Amino acid sequence: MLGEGGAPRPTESLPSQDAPTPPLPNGAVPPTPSGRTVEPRHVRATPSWWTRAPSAVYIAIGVTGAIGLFFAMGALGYYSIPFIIQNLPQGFGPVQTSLEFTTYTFVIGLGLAMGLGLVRAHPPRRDPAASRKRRRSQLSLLWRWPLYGFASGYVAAIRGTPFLVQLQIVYLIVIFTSPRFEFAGWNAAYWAGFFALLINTTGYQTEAIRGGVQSVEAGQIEGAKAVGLGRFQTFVRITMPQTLRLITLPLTNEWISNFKTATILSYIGVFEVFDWSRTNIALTDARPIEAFVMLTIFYLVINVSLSRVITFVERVRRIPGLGSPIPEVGVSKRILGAGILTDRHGGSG
Amino acid sequence: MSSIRVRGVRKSFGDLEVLRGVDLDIDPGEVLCVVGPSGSGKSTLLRCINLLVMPDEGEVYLDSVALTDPRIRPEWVRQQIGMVFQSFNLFTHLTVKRNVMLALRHAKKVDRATAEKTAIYQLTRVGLADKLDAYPAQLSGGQQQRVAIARALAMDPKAMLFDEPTSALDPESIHEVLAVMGRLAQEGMTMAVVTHEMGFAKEVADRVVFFDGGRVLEEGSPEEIFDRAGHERTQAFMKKILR
Amino acid sequence: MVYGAAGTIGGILFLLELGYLHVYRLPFALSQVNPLLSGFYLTLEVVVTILTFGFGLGFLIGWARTTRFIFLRGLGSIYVDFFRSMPPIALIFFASLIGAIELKGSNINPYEVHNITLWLGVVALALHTAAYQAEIVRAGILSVPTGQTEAADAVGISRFRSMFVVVLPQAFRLSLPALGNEFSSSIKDTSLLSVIGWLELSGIAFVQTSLAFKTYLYGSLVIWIMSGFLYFVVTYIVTRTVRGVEDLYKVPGLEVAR
Repeated sequence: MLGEGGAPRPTESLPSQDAPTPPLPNGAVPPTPSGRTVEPRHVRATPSWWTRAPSAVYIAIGVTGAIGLFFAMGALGYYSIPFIIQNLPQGFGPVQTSLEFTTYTFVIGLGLAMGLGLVRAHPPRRDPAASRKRRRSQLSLLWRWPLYGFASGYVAAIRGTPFLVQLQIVYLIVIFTSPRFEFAGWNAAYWAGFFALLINTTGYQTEAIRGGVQSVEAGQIEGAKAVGLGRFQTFVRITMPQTLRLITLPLTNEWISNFKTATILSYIGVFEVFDWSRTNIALTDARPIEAFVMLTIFYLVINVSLSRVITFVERVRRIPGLGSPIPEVGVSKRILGAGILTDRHGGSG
Repeated sequence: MSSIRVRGVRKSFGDLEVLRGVDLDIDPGEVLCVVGPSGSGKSTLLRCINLLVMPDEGEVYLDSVALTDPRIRPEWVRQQIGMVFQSFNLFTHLTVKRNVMLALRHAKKVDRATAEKTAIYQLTRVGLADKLDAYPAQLSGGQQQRVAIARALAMDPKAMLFDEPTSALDPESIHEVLAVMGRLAQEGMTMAVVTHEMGFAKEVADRVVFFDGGRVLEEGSPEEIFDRAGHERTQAFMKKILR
Repeated sequence: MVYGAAGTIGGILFLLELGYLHVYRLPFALSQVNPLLSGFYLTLEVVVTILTFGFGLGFLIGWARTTRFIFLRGLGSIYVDFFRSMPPIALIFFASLIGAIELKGSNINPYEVHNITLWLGVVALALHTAAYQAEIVRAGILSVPTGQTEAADAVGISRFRSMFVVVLPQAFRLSLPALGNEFSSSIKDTSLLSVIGWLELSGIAFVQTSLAFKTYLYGSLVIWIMSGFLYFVVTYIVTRTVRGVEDLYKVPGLEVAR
């Protein structure tokens, strides 16, 4: 809207809107209500070197800093580095036990979770696209409902309770029924811990897999049907390949989570790495700080390298357009993982 | 090429009656354009033809075969009638060539060599011979839609359904897709196209159908519908669409 | 609906367990309620502390990791990498133990020392959860489309200010679901405090279990199942509340894929 003389209309903040606008000289900046002119900042702040460095630089700085700190503190007498170097190999056995527990439960859990995840991914619902006649006789709903209910209840129970509680329950049941049970070199406590861990990780993996299956766009399923692929074919050729790619991140998170949860087994007598550092080093040898440092070394080395490797592999094997964008940026809460992959049980509610 | 006949098709989703008794005929080699306001059930109608949605009542015939016969396998139906979607629905985890080959290999059980040759042929036909090993996300919208068309054509269908194929495209891409569709029509394919592209309908369609409120309101030649529509609602709709 | 199913299954199991174990021992089960509830209140206290400090710290670190300053980003990364690699139980245990040893030589009276070591465990948990929350906050901030900051720039809002009025409100909504998940995880982790002597829900459960061995052998199972139920209730309430907050602040068009 033009005022007199072709000059732009004043903003509403000017007091008198009835008075005609005086024509402004060309190039002048209209005065602000208080009468002062404000010069816009036309010189852009140049980014300094410390903001422009690529991430590899700060990773390098971080790592050297951490190593330097490690040696510095050792030199200062907080802990003795020779002791650490000497006793670290002692921990390899317990670490192996930890890894065994983690990986066996993870793999078995994966198999179970595949089944449960698929059940959870397809809530029994009348198919609205099917014909009315067919809908009435969808008897399969009769057995699908209890199955879905069981899977959902199981997952909710696992995700709603702490592992400590789950462990105690399983442990007590095992102890009450067969306290002297022994199999393949493991006693009853070990097996109790194994089953508790298995039940736990299956629950979380189910959610991750369910997320992956449900993330495959409905449009692609429709596209597959439209070219004549049957339900089984669609599942094998379209849903599964994409699911497997989508769940790599959450499942790695879950492995790491499992690895950390296994430490709780130390309190029912499983001699794994935390138990070793606690009983042998901290208490028996009376060197708690060294114990903690050794534990840190084991966990950092294993977890951080696993995460970095997986992130790298994901980035290299990325298929454009499939799945979440570069894990640095979070996307869906289901696949929320960034940088180091130790998110807690990346499933959703 | 085949004819498609729709007789008395009704479909409800819960309480909402989307199709209220639709009768339609498409002769072999004919191009039918379906126009109408959104929500009128056009997409559902198309999906009833290739049985992605099962009609509650009524029949759909491909030549003399009743597709709604419960003994007919839906997978077979979809190999006879190809469909192209508004949102392309390409398989994101496969290259362009594999996208086209997939159904051939696993639904039609064609061997790998023939499937590959067919895929290359169809992709050349739509003008994408140079993009065989690209992934869908790396292509523009128009290119992706042409891949979708090639994928449908690879099955050697007797008829093709297009559900608003250009609605999700930018203006440049629209032209390339419509060109492919026009060529298909010239080659004698039976086509049912739901679209808002009136220019395309005027040039390529043999007949136009105005669809509103779940049933066919008017049908006729493009000139009849666009310029001399009889029904009031048709006229109102055309006024809004044709600027 | 999921919880309806879960509730039914859980309810049936609970009733079975009730019938099998409790019918003859209902008084026993009832006798456990009070001690467990007192532990429960302590759990809630601890949880509130941990979540407040954890979120505060986590927010700062998460934000720091999105700034231009490589120094802040680096420190944040190290912090997050460390606390997400270490198992919480080890953090709690060693924080408490090393604290106890350091304080042994000092003049503080033993009761105070004991108290401090207990709270050191809580500090360890708070630091632990802060790392996860930092990641969630960071991902939330990065999820806000860059067009938003561009638009804010275009109308002349400074970078710093736009963070508060444009980015954070959206980031907040985007990170709510993940935060709810993390809050639940934190609550469950408080059960680990029992190993350093806290008498929160799990701690009481351990104590009651050892007492119960004299009166009713299978009582321990009953106690732990009841504790599990209480934890379930808490996590359920927290998740539902977060979802309620989500709905409250929901803005059409700004949704995280579910």
